[in-house]
Amino acid sequence: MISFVQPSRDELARLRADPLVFEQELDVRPEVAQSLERELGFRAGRKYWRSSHGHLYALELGDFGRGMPSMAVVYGFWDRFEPRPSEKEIDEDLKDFCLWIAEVCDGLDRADVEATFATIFIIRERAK
Amino acid sequence: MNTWAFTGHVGAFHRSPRPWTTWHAPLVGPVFMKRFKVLSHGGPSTITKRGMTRAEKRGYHHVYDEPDSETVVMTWPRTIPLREGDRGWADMKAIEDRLHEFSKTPTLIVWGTDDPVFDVSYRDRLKRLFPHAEGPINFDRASHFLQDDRGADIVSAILPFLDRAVKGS
Repeated sequence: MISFVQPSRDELARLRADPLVFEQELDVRPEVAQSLERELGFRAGRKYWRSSHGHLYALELGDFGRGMPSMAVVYGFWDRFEPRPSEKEIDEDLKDFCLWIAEVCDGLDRADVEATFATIFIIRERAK
Repeated sequence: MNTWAFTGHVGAFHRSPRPWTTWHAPLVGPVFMKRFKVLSHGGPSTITKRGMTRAEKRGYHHVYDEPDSETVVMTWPRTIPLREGDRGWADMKAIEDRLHEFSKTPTLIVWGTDDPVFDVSYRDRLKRLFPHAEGPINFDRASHFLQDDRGADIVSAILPFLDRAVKGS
């Protein structure tokens, strides 16, 4: 479960925003876009959360005037003068995020998302 | 060859929830497609029946090396018309409504029978829509990329048909 936080202006000033996920068609499944609007409480805006690894992320929704959120970007916020966190940690954090999305959005299923994550290792092996 | 051009028939793969609730789902889809490359890197090597060498896999994969090259893999399946109201439904219906215009066009149905996406129920539906069509000529050991699995054999089947069609025109 994702718990949203409100980082201070000072903390944000020390971090750099790294766009990790860009969804240009959020409303291609209207029930998903509408669920997110309901869950987050806005059609356009940004909410932050801190992952189990302690990294700060944000989900930003964009409103194209179609009666629901139409676009989304997920940012990771990293220390301005430090290397990016390990890809493994980012992968794990994004998995938690996807499971949350599947849980709160109509039309998605947490078990399906979990099962697909379980196939990634197999896919990577076969692709070699 | 293994495709569809009609509404009102959804096979087992397209009925299964997982492609639509994961790979092609909003927000979750870009994570699977762009970050983990489940389709661009997983698709060709997973679907092959003949098996691919490392170099052949690399040939299929390298066109998706750029960060945004996955966008098309993510967005076009969202146009697949599964039910009325889906983004591609009206276009597919418009195509379906004009299929009868091919009723006198020489047609050959060629099918890879090991395709889990377009199973033989799609072939049978096409045959009903095109009763004048030759075939189906079935190719076992041919999956979704049948031209890769059995390319030479398929060409051998198509060439005589094309010869007949050209002579008859």
